[in-house]
Amino acid sequence: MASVGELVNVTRRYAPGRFWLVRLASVAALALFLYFLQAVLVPALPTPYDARLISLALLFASLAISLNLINGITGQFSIGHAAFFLIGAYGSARLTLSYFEAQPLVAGIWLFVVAILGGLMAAAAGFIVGLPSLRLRGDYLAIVTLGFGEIARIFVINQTGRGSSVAGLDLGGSFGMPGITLITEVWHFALLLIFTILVSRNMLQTSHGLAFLSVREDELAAEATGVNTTRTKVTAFVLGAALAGIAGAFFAHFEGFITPQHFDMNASFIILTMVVVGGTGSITGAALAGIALKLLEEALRKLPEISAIDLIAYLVAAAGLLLLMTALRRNRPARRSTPWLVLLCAVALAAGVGAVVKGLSLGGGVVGAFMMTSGGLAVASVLGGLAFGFAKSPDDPFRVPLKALGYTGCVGMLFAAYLVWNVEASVVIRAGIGLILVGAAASLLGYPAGRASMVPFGMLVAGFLGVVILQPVVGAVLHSIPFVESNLKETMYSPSNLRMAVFAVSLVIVMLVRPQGLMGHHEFSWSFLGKSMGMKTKETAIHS
Amino acid sequence: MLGAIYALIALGYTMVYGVLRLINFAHGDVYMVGAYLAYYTSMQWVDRELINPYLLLFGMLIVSMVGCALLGLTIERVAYRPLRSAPRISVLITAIGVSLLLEYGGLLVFKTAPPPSIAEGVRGGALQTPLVLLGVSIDKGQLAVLGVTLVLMVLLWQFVTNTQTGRAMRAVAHDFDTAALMGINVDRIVAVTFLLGSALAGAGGMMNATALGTPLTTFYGLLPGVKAFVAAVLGGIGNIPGAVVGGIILGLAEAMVVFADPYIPGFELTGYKDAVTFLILIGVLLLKPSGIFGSPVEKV
Repeated sequence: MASVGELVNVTRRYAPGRFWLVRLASVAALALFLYFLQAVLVPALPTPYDARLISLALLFASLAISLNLINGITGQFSIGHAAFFLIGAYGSARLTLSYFEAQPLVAGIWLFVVAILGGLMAAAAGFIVGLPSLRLRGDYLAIVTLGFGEIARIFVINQTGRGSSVAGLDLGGSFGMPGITLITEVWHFALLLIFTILVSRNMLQTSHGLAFLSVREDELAAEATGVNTTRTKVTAFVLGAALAGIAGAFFAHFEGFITPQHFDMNASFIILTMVVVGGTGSITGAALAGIALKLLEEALRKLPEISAIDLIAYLVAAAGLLLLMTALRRNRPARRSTPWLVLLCAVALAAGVGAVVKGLSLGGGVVGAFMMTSGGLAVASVLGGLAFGFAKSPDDPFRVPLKALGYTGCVGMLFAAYLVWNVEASVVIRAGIGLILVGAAASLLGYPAGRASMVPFGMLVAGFLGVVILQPVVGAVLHSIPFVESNLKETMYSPSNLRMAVFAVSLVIVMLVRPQGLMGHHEFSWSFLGKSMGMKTKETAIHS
Repeated sequence: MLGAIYALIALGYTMVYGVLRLINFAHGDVYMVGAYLAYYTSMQWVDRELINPYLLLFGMLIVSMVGCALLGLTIERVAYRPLRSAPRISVLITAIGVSLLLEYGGLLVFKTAPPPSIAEGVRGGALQTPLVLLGVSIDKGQLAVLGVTLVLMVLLWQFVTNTQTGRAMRAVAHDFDTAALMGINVDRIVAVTFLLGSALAGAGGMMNATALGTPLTTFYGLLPGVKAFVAAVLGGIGNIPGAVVGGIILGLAEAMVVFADPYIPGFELTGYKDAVTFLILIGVLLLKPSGIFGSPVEKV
């Protein structure tokens, strides 16, 4: 046993000078970064809307990570996370409205005071919700958290300061609370995100964090090895709730006006979607999915009105392709290329180029960008995925052309990123989506496991693309049917209604294609990045 | 009354959960589609006043049930069957996704309807006049709802206990894998389960839309759906009579909250009607997670 102790000492010897130096430097770097963000970057943004986008993306990333602590890392199933967010927001807002004028603290410090108080309130609620989790698992716990979320919202709706209030509490009822002092700035959200990531990540390095993981992997085995599963689960709930509560306090002092609709079941589902899409259990995944989905949601706001026939054509094309893809998946051949696959690659390439051209012809709008992006992505990931996946066997006759196609695809993705950058949308959306594309291309090109696992994504994006290509055809057919033409010609749909539907569809598709989420249980790490860049690194960690 | 409708929806939840161990979040939205189907059917006919109102009501019921049954089959086939072997959490998320899709996709297809005074002729007519029985006045329409619910439940019970498919269904609910090994076509049974459950939800949607006259939106099924699930848990999930009893208890509890409101001075209780359901749920899960009629074996 002594040898283990020595090993630990060799790798991590405690040297006070170095220890404090590193920490001091980190804090200084953080402060510098936040200052740079607020004083240099934010004023440089063209519109206030951009700053708002950044704030919301950071906020939702924090919320996703805090839910990930409960759902992903501890393996519980909470679908009422908006309740904690609500408690933090309303609690802090009530305090500000009642006491802010009368107290001596300046706004900047007051914000942190109410954020901590809001976090504590949410933590108390998390403790209450966590208690049933002692007896409940899986679905039952899910429905309890859902119920708790609804109770919290109904409670707020009834706190009008009149008849239905408990002890005369006034939370504005269903009309919301206006006039909350605006304090929160962009850097607060950045700090929040960093704080949330640090808490989650450092938690995982401790024995408590390992206890969380062991509860997720096998509760019975964890209990048998002496983990106090009850305490672990409640701790996870309290911690996740507290972080969401702090986020709520920041949000309330950012918006200045909060209503119960901000925190309804859909808010919970959106946060949950972020966690699940990002990969349940991956902090990196939750953060990336939080940012990406929030930006996507905002980008979808700018969708133009769409005529009913066009939309139905999209849906028909999508349904047809989905059926085709499920059929293809079932009859997936051995992992070797065949002439069919090469043909498929060639078709996908042609389709991708077609989509990019069509997108270019539409000009700079969001739809054009969407087409270009999906075109580039499709080319990249289908070809890249298939090519790299199949070119592994050295005796494959199509190795060289497939590999060449794969590289072409990656170039296509980079090109799509370039196209996105030139689209008329908010700079934040352009930068965010462009960066994600570049990152995807990089990981596709560099990371060996990434290449193989890109195949399902390739299928997915190829599906998007096929929809774009097929839609005009189906549309033309629909227009030629007199009944449809006469009934639906005038009907237009507004984009605001489409947003959640698109969200829901993407959720279902991601679940069908990759049930464990994009990142799975994986985390970002420097060795991962090194491997992506092709550098040889020592395998030091046991993390998979 | 409301309890009977909760019971109808709860039956679908409990059957699907019994067979697949899946909370079918989309079930409440199937119920919403049922209400809309009934609404559109009535719009097709009632303007022309060609049809006997009672026949129309019956037709609406049939259209809702058949339409919802088909919808349920499609959902099962497209969204749930490919995930049969995936982790249960993934299936649950898919269910949430399907639910959101029906709600927001429905927003495009269905218009937000005014309180569907379905078949004004019927509402103004015989079904609206109260029937005075032993000094208690009861709306005849509500009696009709109760009657139809009872008939459907008896039919379901007969189906599950006395037919071969029903026996196969119970076998699958008892042990999925063993049932498959015994030569039962599990896929078919699951499909039948979805078909029956969705048809019942459609019937519930039609009757609620007709009798209660609440405005139709695409989120119409959200709260009833969740409450019906609570009813199923309350009665012991997977247990068919339990779902009925649970639904009725829940309906009564809500009615009692409204009833008790005037007796508490200076405090409006009615607003908390919906919260009561969830309090009941949490209470049940903490005290007796297997529900009233649940097997004593801890399944949770």
